[in-house]
Amino acid sequence: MKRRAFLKTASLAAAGLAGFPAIVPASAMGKDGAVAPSNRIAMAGIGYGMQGFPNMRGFLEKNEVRWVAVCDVDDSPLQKACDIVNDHYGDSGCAAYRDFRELCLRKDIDAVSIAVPDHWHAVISISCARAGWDIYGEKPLAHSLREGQAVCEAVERYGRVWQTGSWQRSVENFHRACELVLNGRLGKILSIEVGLPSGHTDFARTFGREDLVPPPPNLDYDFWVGPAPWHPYCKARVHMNWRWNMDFGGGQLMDWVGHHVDIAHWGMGWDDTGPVTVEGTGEFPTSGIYNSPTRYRVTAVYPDGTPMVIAGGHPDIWSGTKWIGERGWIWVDRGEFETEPAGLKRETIGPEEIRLDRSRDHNQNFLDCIRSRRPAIAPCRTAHRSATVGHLGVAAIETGRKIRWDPANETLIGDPDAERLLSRAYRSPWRLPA
Amino acid sequence: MVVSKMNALRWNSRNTRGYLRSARAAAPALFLLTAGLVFSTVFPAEGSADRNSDNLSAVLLDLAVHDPAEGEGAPLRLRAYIASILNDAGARAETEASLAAFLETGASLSGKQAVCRALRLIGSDISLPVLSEMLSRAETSDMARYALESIPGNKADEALLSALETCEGDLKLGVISSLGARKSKAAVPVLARIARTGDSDAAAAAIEALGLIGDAGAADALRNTLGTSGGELKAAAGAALLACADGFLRAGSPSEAAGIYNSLFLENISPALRAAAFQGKAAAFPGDAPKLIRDTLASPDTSLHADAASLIPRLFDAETVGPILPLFENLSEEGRIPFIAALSNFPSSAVLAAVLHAAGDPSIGVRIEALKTLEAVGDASTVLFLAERAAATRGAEQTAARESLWRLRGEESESALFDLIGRVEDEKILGEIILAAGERRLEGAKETLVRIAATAPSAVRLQAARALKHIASPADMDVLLDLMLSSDDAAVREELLTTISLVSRVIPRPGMRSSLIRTRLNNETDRDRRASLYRLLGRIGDDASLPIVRKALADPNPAAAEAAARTMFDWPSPAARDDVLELARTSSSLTLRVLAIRAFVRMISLEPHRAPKGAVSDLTEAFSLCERPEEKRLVLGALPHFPCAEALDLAASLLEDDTVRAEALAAIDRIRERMRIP
Repeated sequence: MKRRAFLKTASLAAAGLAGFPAIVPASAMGKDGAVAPSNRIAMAGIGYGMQGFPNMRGFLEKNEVRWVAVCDVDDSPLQKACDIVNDHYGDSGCAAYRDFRELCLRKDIDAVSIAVPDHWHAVISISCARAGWDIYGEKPLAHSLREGQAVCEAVERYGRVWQTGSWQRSVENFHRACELVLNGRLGKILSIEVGLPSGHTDFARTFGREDLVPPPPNLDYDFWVGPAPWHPYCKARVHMNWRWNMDFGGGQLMDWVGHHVDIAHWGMGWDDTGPVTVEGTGEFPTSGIYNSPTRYRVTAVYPDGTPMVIAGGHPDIWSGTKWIGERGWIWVDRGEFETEPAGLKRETIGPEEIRLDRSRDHNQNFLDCIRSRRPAIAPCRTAHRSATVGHLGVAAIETGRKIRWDPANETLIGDPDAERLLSRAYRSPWRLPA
Repeated sequence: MVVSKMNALRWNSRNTRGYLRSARAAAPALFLLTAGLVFSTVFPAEGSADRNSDNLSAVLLDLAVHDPAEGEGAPLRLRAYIASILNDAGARAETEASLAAFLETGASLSGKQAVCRALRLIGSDISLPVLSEMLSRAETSDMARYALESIPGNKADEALLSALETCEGDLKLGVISSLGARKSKAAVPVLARIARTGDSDAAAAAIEALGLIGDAGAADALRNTLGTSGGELKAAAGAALLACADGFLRAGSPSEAAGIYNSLFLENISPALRAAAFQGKAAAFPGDAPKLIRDTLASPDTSLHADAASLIPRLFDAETVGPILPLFENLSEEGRIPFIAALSNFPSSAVLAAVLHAAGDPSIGVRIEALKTLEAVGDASTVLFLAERAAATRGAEQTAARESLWRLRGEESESALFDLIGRVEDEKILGEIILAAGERRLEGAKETLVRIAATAPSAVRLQAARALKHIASPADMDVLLDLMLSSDDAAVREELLTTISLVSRVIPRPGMRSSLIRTRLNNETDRDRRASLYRLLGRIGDDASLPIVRKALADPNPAAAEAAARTMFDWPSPAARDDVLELARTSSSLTLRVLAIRAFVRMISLEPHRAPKGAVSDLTEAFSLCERPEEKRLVLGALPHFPCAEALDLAASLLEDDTVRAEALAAIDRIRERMRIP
């Protein structure tokens, strides 16, 4: 790891001052199950408004990780994150940054966990790829479809390992359901139903706090808004609940498309393709600061003619992913896995059948792949493909049209209007890095 | 790029007031402008015949005086309106004209931003003049670009280029970024010039824009910048040039791309850029790439070993990978791990031998990767090796060996596994083989596993009991119950208990899942066995069994009654709530009373959607039965799940209790938060 070179320099400097230490503890040499410091993966975290904390805690559990830096535009969670790291290691070695660009200048970091609002995903992800870091990034991959393509290109250009926070891929029931579907247990798949949440969820318990007030001194609000269109500060539009305003997030559809549509794709072997047509309808709030659909229904048809209905707030579509085939159905959700016929779920995947990559620990899978350079279980391009369905769905709702899409070339067919909705201009001085 | 923290142009409610005043004055004029345009405004509502209707003039009147504090209502109405006229060319043109006229008024900035974002979808040459004019004004420049950046045609580029002459600071950076996003070839000469200026923020923006444009002219400009700049600008120019090279490669010009990759590789601006350039070199000429990879892996310079190894799957095949296998010995640990991982793609006897060799590497990281790779390249001959390794190791190495054994491909591997069950004597290795048989759901091994679970040494029995949960079916429940009830080993009994409860879940009718256990209970007299059967009833949680457990609570045998009580405490559904409450009230044992209160609170929490008052009433009763602070805290912990005035009252009533005051305060905070009481 890069830290090795850093530590080498540091230890040389120390040797000049104090000579070689008389006793080197076994743990420092990687004995007794410990990981030698030189072999640890040096990680940093960017974004502690919500998911950054659980993601970081998951990595702190791993002996092979040394968390070296945290970054956020809000001093309050930044300090909390820094304290968690320092308490964990019993030292004060964690550095805190407000500006991710300063963090990106560090040479001793191997990987980063990014959990920022959607409108920041692309800029920060590409900057980190350019720094040569492997990336654990949250879904959806990017705030717009064209940004998503740019992120994929950068990650591939710099040969980075990318793990998306689509952690359902690392859970047994989802994996098993997908293997059954992929191995034809349902016969030909006739349709797929994906049920997502509806409405808006008050993650931060700030609903109703829409009064425009000065931002708190601990928050660099201008930086927080970053490349998104300007909106004056109000508490209900920042941490966690930004998701319900389309300038910062993509509503329930974009929040969840990277989970249940991702699983639908996995089961169908569609990780590197997408729909050929997408149409949809949505219902929007009529007042307040949120403008993402509260109820929606999108139908995407794939190259083999299979339709996938993605809906929120439609009771006929069960939450989770349901594949309906000639011989029955398989439904999977968090903590749920049902089949028709019921015996299907106990069927064995034979030794000659298709086996999907297996992960039972999403964070560990990322760390393993950093060392092996294998693709992680939820790689960048895969995340882009699931997000694409959401982006096209949003465009279909906005234009009221059936959108025709060429999944091989990732281009719209004959719809220059919809094309305009697949990218966004950035507020100055921000820009998408090349 | 500098973020201006004191940027007074970030409008808010307060500094839009001036605009609001002028907008209100302008509103009648606006109305006249737009009054001729009356269209029904609809979103494509779902199958609704009764669509919402609105008209443009009304929406624009509202937007003219729109205050950000008013929220998204009016902007959403405009979006709906735009969607309704999208397919009507005439209406689009008229609407765009109205929107352009609106932008020339003194309307509020938030209203103008909403209009610019509508023009993102329908903007054309019609609105270019006003948008161009807005580009050079600090308070409207960004919003103008939200529209302009998506307007097709050279005129939009010209507008942006023209703005470059007048814009400064952040505005200029924004315009540059839009030219890059539009891939404006016409902008290359100007951007090339800016990239060489002393204004480092503008130069950096121009470099990125040139990278996005990515044509030959942009690449030339970036080469020049690379040669003349240093530090972060040089790194940015390298990254932008790399993006150009990738574009050339995608466009079918590998020679042009390779030239850039080679120069960036030699320039060695940063390790990340050098590694990316190396990867680009391999991609530009795939025919030459295997030699490049071989030479790199053979080189004493280890810095690119991992990068080279990670390219093997893309550039080698089953035949060409053979000659590079000996290079493993030359690699650093960081190179060995991806090298072995890359071999997963090429199963052959030579690769298998190499991977088995790597499985003995001194580095645990390399050994683990080799064990993982055996899943893909191993065969029947690898089964025993993996079982032995799983038996001899712990932690990640054991997990890697086990998972490869569980997923090793080929019918022959399964046959080998089956054969080994009868042949292997070492208990640990046999245990691993049995575990694998279960994970692989080897149904043919079921009878053997049942026999082993009954007669083998303890450690092996445990693994057999564990494996059976994957293989057994409801038809086997009788046999499994016999096994469980006859076992003298508590761990094996526990494992079989789990196995039977899991197997029972396959029975489609929930009410039938415990029927066999109920029958057994009718005929079973042994106290310990009855206790096991009660526990099983609790684990399965079939509510049809509750009357039996209820009856057992009154069993004259205290041990049987206690077993029934504990079964109630574990009951997975709230159906046993009243029973555990009764136990909390009446049991003579403090232990059982405590367990009953805990179970009662857990069951209340299983129904988060209950009417809060009812749940709080139950929690109040639970609290009245608490004898220790531990349970009182448990109740207070559950209270915020049911936010209501009664919950607040209960928590407040406990503020005088020193043992739980902190928890009561925390509960009050959380309840108030949930009730949105400031």
